[in-house]
Amino acid sequence: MSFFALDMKKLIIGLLIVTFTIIALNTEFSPSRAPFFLKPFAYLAQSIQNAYAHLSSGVEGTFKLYFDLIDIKKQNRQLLKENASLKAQLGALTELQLENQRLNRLLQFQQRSSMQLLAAKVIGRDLIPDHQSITINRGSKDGIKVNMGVITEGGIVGYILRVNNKTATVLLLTDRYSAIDAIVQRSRARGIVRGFTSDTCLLDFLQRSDDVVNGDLIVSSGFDQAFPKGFPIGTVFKVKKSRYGASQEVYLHPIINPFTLEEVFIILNPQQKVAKKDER
Amino acid sequence: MNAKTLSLAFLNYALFALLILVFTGFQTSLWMYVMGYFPSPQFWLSILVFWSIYRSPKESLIMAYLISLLVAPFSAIPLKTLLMVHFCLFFLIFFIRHRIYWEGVTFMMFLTFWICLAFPFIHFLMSFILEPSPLHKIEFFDWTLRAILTTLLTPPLFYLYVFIDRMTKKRWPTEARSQAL
Repeated sequence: MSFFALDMKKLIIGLLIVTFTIIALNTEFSPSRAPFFLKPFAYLAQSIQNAYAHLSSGVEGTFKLYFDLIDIKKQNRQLLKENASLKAQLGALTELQLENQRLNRLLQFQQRSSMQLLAAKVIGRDLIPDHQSITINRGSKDGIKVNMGVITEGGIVGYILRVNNKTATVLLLTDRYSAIDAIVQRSRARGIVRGFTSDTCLLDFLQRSDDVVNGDLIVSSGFDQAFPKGFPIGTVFKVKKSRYGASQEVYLHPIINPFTLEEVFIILNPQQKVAKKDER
Repeated sequence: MNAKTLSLAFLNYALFALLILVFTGFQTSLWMYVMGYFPSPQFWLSILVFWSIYRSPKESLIMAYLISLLVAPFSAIPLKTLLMVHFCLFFLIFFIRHRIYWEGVTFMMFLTFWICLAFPFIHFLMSFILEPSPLHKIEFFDWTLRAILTTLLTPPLFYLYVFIDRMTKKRWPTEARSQAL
């Protein structure tokens, strides 16, 4: 057999070796391009990798979520604590702000009034709800005496019933034992304001012919030496005239709500005028 | 009665007197700060009930006087009215106790509730008889709430009173002595 005689079998093997070598060399020279025959494998690989990646991210996510939840729980507890503490602080601050406003109002009232006033704090209320009295933190050592008038910037509160060394009992104007000399501001008709129930008073000893209607303001007359003249007591909400009586029943709501009192003033010299501002 | 028994009896009275002052102060001052004008439990009535159940009539009467004197400064109520109301309550408790009696805290709860409810009615009546300016109405809802609150607080109070009695070796009358707890 001569050298040039073709052996097809050997030729095909030789061609295949050359082809694969060329392909391999080609792959070596452009590594960025995946050969076509690797594409299906690459596809499979990426699918599996993706699946693992999803799974691992899922697992990681679950673990992370679990650890986050623990953290969140901790944080939540901490935030709740902080929130409660801030709420408490806010409540205290609001309370302080309100107290500040109230005291400011009282101070302004004290400053513009020419009466000699002594500020006092309400420290107690009556033991028996059928009686209307409060206890204040001023007593005989502060110069408090029985029957001195007690007011706030809005109107009359009552008067001193009992005095101890450091405290005093104030009989509120809504107590059935209290009596304050008063006049109807509009018509100047005179009567006595007595306590009736815990939120109403009665204007007694008014004559039948006296002019008083619903909405009239009842003010102090100044004759009882406890309150200055013209200080508000209450407003009339019911007038009852019986057919044959010589007098009339006049009911009023006190200007001051005795259930919300926190600070009051005791009038040490009631014969002064109510406000300097009015004089100007 | 020897000196030790006498001093223990005195201590018993003193501790209950102190308790009345502490409770009444709490009720009129601290309760107001915390709860505003929401009805408060009537502690002094529970002490009156306890003494009327577990003491001789003579001692209960002394306590009725003592309670009246101790709580009068906390209210604008005239002393004569308060004394008469307490005496009426004392007689009412004795009247009930001689007819119905069972041992333990539940009897005191039962009596406390009814005595708290009876208080405003007897007060209304006494005010009508004794005072120039009597009560116009009874705050029934308010007093019912007070009665419920006082009754609910009776068990701990009862054990406190029993503790004081044990500490001061106070002997109870025969019908009330056995098995208070």
